[in-house]
Order: sequence, then C-alpha cells, then structure tokens
Amino acid sequence: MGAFIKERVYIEGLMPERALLRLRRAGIPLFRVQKTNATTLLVSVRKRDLEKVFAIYPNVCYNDSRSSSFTAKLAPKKGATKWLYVLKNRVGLWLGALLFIGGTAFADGLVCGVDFVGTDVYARETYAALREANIRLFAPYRKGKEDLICAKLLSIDGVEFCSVKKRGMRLVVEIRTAPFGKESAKDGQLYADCDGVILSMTVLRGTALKKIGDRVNAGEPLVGDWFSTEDGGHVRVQAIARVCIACTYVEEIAAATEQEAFAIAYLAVGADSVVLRERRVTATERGFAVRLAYESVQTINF
Amino acid sequence: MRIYDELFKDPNDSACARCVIVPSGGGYFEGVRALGELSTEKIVVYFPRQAVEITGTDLAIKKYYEGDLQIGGKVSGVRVLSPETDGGKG
Repeated sequence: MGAFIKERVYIEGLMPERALLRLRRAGIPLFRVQKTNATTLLVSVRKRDLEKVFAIYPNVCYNDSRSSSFTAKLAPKKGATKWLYVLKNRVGLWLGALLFIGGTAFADGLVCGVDFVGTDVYARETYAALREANIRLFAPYRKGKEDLICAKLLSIDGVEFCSVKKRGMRLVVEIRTAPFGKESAKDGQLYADCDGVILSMTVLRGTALKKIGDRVNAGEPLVGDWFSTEDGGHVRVQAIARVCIACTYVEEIAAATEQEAFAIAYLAVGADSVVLRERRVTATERGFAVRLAYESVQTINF
Repeated sequence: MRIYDELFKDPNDSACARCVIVPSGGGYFEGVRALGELSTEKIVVYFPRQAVEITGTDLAIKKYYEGDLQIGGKVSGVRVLSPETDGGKG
C-alpha cells in the first residue's frame, strides 16, 4: 500500500534544487516536483520512502544537535488521501455512524404502536383485525394488508370510514362513525299485522295486552306503551317487545302460472320478514287459489 | 534498440546522457546528475559533462528517479550550456 500512496513534503532551504541530489543518491523516486517559492520545493514521495526523506533532511528544532542545510516538512493532506486518513483515524466515529444509519433504517420498518384518529371506541376490534392480518407490535410491518383491515372494521355497525397508514414507526388508524347513530326509539303500541294465533311473546318494557295462544285480528294492539302504577295510574314508556303470530293467507290470484301466483302471494305477506310453514296452490277457473300458513314476527324497539 | 546503444556511446565507449523531447509537449532525460534552476519557464539539468537548459511554459518535473527525469508542460527549447560561457556545473 505504501508504494501507491504518496505523501507531499516541503523541502525548504537556500537553492532547494540542490536538496534533490541527496534524495536521488538515496534512490528515492520523486514525483511532481514544484517550486512554490524561492526557498521551497513541494515534492511527492512514496509513503514508504517518507522515513528516508526525514532521515536525510530532518525537521530540526532549536534543541536538536543535528544540522542540515535543508529541512523537510510534511504537507497537509488533500484529496482522497486526506479522507483515507480521516477514515483510518476515526474508525469508531464511522462505525457508529453506520450503525446508527443501519439501525434507523431497520427500525423504520417496524411497527411500534397504533395511534387512533377519530374514535378509539373500536380499539379492541382494531387490534383483533391487525392480528388477523399478521401485523404485530415491534415486528416488521407487512404492506398490502390495509384494505383487508379496513374491510373488517367497516363491517362493524356504525363505522362509516376507515383508513390505515404507517407513519414512521406508528400505525395510524382513522375510524369515523356515522354522524347519527341508530334510529331513535319508536313511541306507541305494538299492533298485529295479520289474523292468527300468538305463538310467542317477549315484552321487555311495556304492558302485554294478549297472551300466548290468543287469537288476534289484524290491527289489534298486542303490547301497550305504559306501565300501571300501584295507585292505578299509567306511566308512559317506550315499549320494547317481540311477538310471533301464526297467520294464514288465503286468496284467489289471477296469474298465468302456479309459480307466479305463489310469488304474488308471498310478496303480499311480507316475503323475507316471514317464515313460511305451509303452502298450497290449486288451480281455479279464474286463476289459482293460494293458501299460505306462515309465522310473522312483529317487534317494537327490539 | 541496439542502434541506439551504438549511437549513444561516447568515444570512450561509455553511455551518454540522452533526452527525448515531444514537440510542444514534455520531455524525458536520462543520466541526469543534478537539478539546477527550477521554474515553470526554465529548468536546468546537469549531466556528467554538461548542463542543459530547457525552456517552455508550464514546465514541471513529473518524475525524478535514478537519473531519469520526466518533464511535463510545453517544451519550446533545449539548449546545451557550455561551461565557459554559461558557468554550468560539470
């Protein structure tokens, strides 16, 4: 390495060109010889020849007994050589800097916490969704799972908006709920919407006006929206109740086919809100006679 | 080449100092014993029996080792200095 690295040396003295004679005789190759002023030469020598140069022309001081017409001094380093020496003399600094940069780059890929924006009511559901997406705290962050997490959070009733972003080492989860929650409670009584027999009745608030097994007609009140007090008075409340009635639908429907007649009758009784128990469709002169036996559930604030 | 070895011998059959000049370029000198003046316009080199003055612009010594001297810059003239008229070092 010493053969390739060159050091710059100032040789000072009267007629400094004469100093090169002894260096030449010592077999020291000289490179880029420049005369910087009348008494100074700037010479580049190989690093391994530097000791010889200073042995021939020592940089003498006042209490040194050696004498020389010329003196040699090391010139300040510049260019790549300078940085090579800085690197060599500051190994700890460079290693520390590299470790710091590497550590920062590595830590930037981790998730160290979750910040909630908007509302943190669904924090438990959020952490569960993150676990399902295999995102854990103090572990590398897996990209591409944001849509999956948001889909799970949006399926929660009341969540209108969701976004998941990574900022630095934190995961920012923004959840916005609907501006107006569920529908406000209804006032009034619960009425039957068909003729039939009460199969089951659940009254959490209010007064039951019928009992299981009673035959009711469409429009009859089933649950009242009041309580009776001991002194005979009534206190108004918002009723909460659920009543299941076994109803029968009988109708002659003008339709081209049996299926069409059934569909018309099914839609008439409420389709998805009823449980069909029995159906009978018979052809008549004017169409089809449809008889449906079904269970209808009526609720109020339930 | 052998012809150069023959040409560059003195009458006593010992090797002569020699130089190679590139017009408007640098030069290469062999057998240099010592350096005299050194500046960007003039360099004086001493051979065993004579001194040579090299003139030009931006002259600089690129390498000097064991009597071989490489000069960079633009050499415009080379003059052998006679000891009687120029006081050159022999």
